Amino acid sequence: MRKTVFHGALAPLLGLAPLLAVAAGAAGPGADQAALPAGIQFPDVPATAGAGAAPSGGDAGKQYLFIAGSSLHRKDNNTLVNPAPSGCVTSNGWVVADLQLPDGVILEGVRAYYSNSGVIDGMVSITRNNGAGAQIDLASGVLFHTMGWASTYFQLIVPEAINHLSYSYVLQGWAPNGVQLCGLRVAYSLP
Amino acid sequence: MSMPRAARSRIPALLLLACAMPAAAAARADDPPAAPAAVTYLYRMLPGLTFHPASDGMEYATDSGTGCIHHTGGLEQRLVHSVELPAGVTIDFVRFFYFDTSPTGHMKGYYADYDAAGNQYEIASSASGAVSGYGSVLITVNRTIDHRSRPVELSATLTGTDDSVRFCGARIRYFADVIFTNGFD
Repeated sequence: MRKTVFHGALAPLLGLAPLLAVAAGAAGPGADQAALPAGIQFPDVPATAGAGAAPSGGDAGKQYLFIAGSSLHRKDNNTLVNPAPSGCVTSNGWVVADLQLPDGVILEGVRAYYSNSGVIDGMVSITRNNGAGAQIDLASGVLFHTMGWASTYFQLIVPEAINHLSYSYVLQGWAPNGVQLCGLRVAYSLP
Repeated sequence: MSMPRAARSRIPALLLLACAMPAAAAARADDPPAAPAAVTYLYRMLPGLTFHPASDGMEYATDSGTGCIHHTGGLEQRLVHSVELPAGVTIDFVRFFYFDTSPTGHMKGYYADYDAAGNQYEIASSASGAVSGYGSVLITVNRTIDHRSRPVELSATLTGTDDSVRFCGARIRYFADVIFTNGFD
């Protein structure tokens, strides 16, 4: 209940209203045929033949870009960032990284690796900017409470063809106290 | 061989559509070539809000819903971003995007590389003009990426301490001078 109150009351103030519509973009575990990162057991991800194993089945041809949580940096100087073990990050505001994919590839979604034992949930999003003030969320979602390490895949409702002539792309995360954001794995496919 | 009635009926609509279309904007130096070119130009756009301060002495904020970033205080005014492109490609242009409604402040974009021995080489720079709202400036670079010796950095300085001057990103145009162009020389 406490989380609900927080999101409802503060999200508009933080400009997070689009993130409340998260359920539509969240896909079930395994939608991107996750392979396990080495060393951490994510119970909601089906095991594969080892870390970095090639995706199989209908997912053949999918590519990944895995960005460590600890490589995200704060969006403003009032945000406090605390690096956590294992390449994770905790912050009291948004942290970001630019998403550099080759032109023309099809962005399909992002899997967030995290743990959440706090009273406030974390969030992630992928945004697109045109350099002239227009920004939209391509995908976004909440990192709900977990029992230990977990991951959630957020699928773009409409796959996005990367176009650096017109747009830039940003990965954003928010991992408040009790949440560790350990990585964002972007799934894309070749055109 | 008279034109079918259905086709004839569409002619007025097509003429109206042609008249209503805006005149093509003047081509800019870093636009894609209208005709096939000998090389393929590629682009890499870096979001303004992923640039970070060059030192701790900068207070800054991002502008919600715009992807832009602005200076709010502190002596440091420079935001930086690494350029990570494959070795051997040539950057010919960089376009810096900004928002500027300040009569005194401005955004200035830089392309610089370093020799890892304490020396910085500023290749080109350009500042925003007095405009109302969003705009962009273009710099000519013509440098080839060489990761053996020269790390490259884009930076933007923001004068003023409010959101009347914002930095909204930089777009690199580059091309690969591959073997099919001159590798057999």
